[in-house]
This record gives sequence, structure tokens and C-alpha cells, in this order.
Amino acid sequence: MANNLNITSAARKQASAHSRRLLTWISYLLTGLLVVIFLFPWLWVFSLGFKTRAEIMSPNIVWIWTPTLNNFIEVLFVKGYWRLIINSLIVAVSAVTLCVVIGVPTAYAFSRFPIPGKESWFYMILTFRMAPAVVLALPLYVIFARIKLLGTYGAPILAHCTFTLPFVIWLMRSFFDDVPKEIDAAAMTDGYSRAETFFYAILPLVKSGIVAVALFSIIFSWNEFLYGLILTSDATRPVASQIPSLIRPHGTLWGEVCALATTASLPVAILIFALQRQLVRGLSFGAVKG
Amino acid sequence: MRSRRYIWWWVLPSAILFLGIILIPFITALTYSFRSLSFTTSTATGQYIGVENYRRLVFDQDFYNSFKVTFLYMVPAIILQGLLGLGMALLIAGAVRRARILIPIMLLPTLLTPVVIGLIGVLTLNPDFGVIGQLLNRLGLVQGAVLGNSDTALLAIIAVDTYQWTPFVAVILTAGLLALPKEPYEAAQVDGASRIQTFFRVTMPLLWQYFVVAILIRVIDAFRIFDIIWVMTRGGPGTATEAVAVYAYRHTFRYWDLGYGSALIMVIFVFISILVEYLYKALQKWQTA
Repeated sequence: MANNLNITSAARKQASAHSRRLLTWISYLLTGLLVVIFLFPWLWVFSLGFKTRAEIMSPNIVWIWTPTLNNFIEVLFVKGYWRLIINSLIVAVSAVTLCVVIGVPTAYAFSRFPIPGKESWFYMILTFRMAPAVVLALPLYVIFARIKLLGTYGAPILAHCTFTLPFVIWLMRSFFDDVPKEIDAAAMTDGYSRAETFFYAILPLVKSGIVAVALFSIIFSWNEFLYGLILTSDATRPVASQIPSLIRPHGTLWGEVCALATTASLPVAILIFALQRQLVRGLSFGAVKG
Repeated sequence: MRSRRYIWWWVLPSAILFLGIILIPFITALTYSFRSLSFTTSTATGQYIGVENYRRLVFDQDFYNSFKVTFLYMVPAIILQGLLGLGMALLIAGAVRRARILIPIMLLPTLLTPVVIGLIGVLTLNPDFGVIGQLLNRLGLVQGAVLGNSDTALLAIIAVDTYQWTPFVAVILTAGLLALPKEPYEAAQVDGASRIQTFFRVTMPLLWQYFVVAILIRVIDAFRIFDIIWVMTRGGPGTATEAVAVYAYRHTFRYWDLGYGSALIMVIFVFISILVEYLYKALQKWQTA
């Protein structure tokens, strides 16, 4: 009797192991399918950059072709749009450097000092971070026009600080909050001043956080469209702001547009992979420590 | 006393920048909203007209339309993203833990330049040579251009938005799933709960706070949607896809109706700040937990 029971339970165990393995395979399959779904439209559009005009416009989609770099050469070098990439780089790096340098100490202060009205300030910072660009774009345009900043690199750099600075302060505070206050206390009993404590004891501990915040901010700045469009001249416009104007009702040179979009997307893709471990935290405003 | 003054040095540079590029411009826009001001009338400061701009706004059909469009896009898009995101998260966090290395790949649409996402939408949906547009035409689901038809243009925006943001929801929920405590599951097993019971009685309540943050961020984002619409339809055909940010843009930078445009901006801002209050509370609760 007891023997019998053992046999059935073993059989059941084996059956459940089988179904579990099947489930694992199904989930592998589904995950693979998801990756294909998310990558396919992307890859397809980028493939157009490597096609000739006839291949792109063909009513029967061309799946096998000899890739050409003509679109890239034409749009980047003959038309000189490589400058747009440089503009994006100048704007993003300047805005992010400025905001990290002045925002990180502020985030530390918010994490450690009893600042009056701290939570209200934080709420306000988040509100402006989440407001659409169009809210500040208009007054910034008028003010920058008045102080003759319009059309210079300064205009988009300062405008990008409107979302970069709140982001840096918000996210860096969550990184500083992770560092126990006892470390500050220990450093200060060792005779460090507050500033020395910050530089020599705390900053090294949040180094990876600063890198993550900076890379994230560069992505956001690189992706920004509206400020880059209205506050700049043709000479200072970042690449993301220029792409839509290349799409015309008739006679769009799709191959070149796609080649430019591919080139503009590459740095972002590289940064995403560089960010890996911090992606979740950055996207959720520090709420999820992934 | 000394330490009080000391604090200022840490926040002063940020405070100056915040004042210069955020607060002063915002207050400038606020004063504009009480003035009749446009760049076509060259008087730089315009005339004070009280709440006339806001009165005009109350009777503006296109303004209501822009809110209607925003909600028509937001509600189905966020429900879709919530459900698909949950499915994806269960998949990633469940049997395929190693799939965490796939997270950066899945997040490509979320972090890629929105303008390029819009371009992907325009091209794949092109009825003549786009992979998806052609397919839709062949299956007889859509006649002609998806984006040229006011019935389907908003659906296309919803689809592209879902493509872009589902991974975001999925990744936040995945992090939530991986951070769930073990004890409630052991208790559920002891009590002999079925898988489905465990999911609805244990997993969902524990996951709920992650859901709240993801959905709130998406709702606020929905009020910001601009780039993708601008690339795909410019708010058209007609006003079929003219969400609030697109409408405000039209009045400010197309018509240069700065007074009225500022009033629109203020109303949008009030909406955002109410939503952010909820988000702020959700984030706070979380970070102290």
C-alpha cells in the first residue's frame, strides 16, 4: 500500500517536472518573440538607410539586397549634416556637465541638511521636470530673444538644463540617501570639514550613481526636440530637432532620412548598454532600485 | 548660525539656475496670460486684458477637443501598456531570469529619440512601401494611408506609443516582481492556494505600488506627448490627433498668439502639477519604505 503511494507520487513529480520544462521553453519562445517584435520595426527602418531609392520605394518589399553607404555619405558629408551630430554633442555634454557640477552638491544638501521647505522644493522640482517643454519654451524664447541668446549654443544648453537639473537633483538625492549618515559623522569626527567629507568620503561612494545620472541626462538631452528646434539657428541645431523637417509631403529622401536617424541613434544605443544596471532606477526616478 | 549660512553654498548655484531658466520664465508666461500679446502686433509687452484669455479658453471648442484627443489616446494606450507590460514582466521575472540581460534591448524603444520612433511609425505604416501599412492594406483592414485617415490616425499614435512605452512598464514591474518578499508565497503554499489564487491574492497586491508609479508616470507623459505626434501627423488630419501640447504649440509658435498660448500653458501646467502631487506621494511612500 505504502509502496504504491510512493510510485504515484514519483510519477506525479515527473509529470510536473515535464510540464515545468515545457513552460520554460514556452517562455523562452515568447521572450524571443518579444525581442523580435521590439527590434524588427527598428531594424527595418534602419535597413532603409542602406538601400537605394528604388529598393525603398519598391511596392514589393526588398528583403535581400546589396547594402550601400551612399545615403550616409550623401547626408552626412555631401550635405554636411555631420555638423548636427556635433551640435547635439556640444549641447548635451555642456548642459549635463553644468547640471552635474552644480546639481550634485545640491542633491547632497537635500539629503543631509535641514533645508526649510525641503519637501515643497522637491515637489516643485518634480513638477517642472514633468511639465511639457511647451510650457517653458515660449517664455524662454522671448527672454533669450531679448538677451540676444537666440540662435547660439547657449540657448539650447540652458533650455536643456530645465529638465536636466531637476533630474540630477532628484536622482542624486536618492543615491546620497543610500549612503548611511554614519559615514559623514565618522569622517567629520576624523577632522574633515563638511566639504572635505563630501569630496573625499561620500563622492567616491556614489561615483557609479553620478555616471548613471550623467549618461541618462545625456540621453534625454540628445533626444530633446522642441527647444532644439525653436531656440536655435540652422548652424546650432541638434540632430533630433532637424530630422522632422526632412520629412516632406512629397519627395522625401527616405534613404537619407533613415541614414541620419541611424547615425543619431547609435550613441543612444551605446549609452543604453553602458547603463544596463542603472536603467530601471533612472527611469523610475530612483523609486525602483533595480 | 554658521552652519545655516553654510547650507546656502551647496544650493546657491542650483537655485540661481532654477530661478533664471525655470521660475522667471514661468512667471513671465503667467503675466503674458493676462495680456493681449502677439508677435504680429509689435508692441513688446502687450495690453493688460485681465482674464480675457482664460474666458476665451472656456469657450474654445478646439481646446476641449485637444483634451478629448489626449484622453482618447491616453486611456487605451495606458491600459494596453499596463496589461502587456505585466505579461512581459511575468515572463522576464518568471521562468527566464537570465532574460534580464535582454532588458537593455527591450528598452531601446523607450529611450530611443522620440523623433526617430515617430519616423519608425511613419515609415512602417506607409501604405505604399511600409511593412505594416502594406500588410494592413492587403488584409483590407485599412484603405489607403493609416495616418491620413482621421479614424485610424489616433489608433496609429496609440500603437506607436505602446511600442515605445510597454517595455518601460514591463521593466518597472519586473524590478517589482524580483523584489517581492518570499514569506507570503510560502504561507500561500502552506494554505494550499492555487497558482491563480496566489497571483491575485498575493502577487498583485504586493506589485500594486509599482503599478501605481509606472501608470502615474505614463499619465503625466501622456500630457506631454508632442514629438511623436508632430512627426507622424502634426496633429492632423484636421484636429484628429491634436493633443494638448500640440495644440499649445500651434497657438504659440505657429500663430504667435502669445497671450492666449500662455493661458493654455498655464492650464496644462495646473493639470500636470495635480498629477505630479499624486506621483510625488507615491514615490515618497516608496523611498521611505
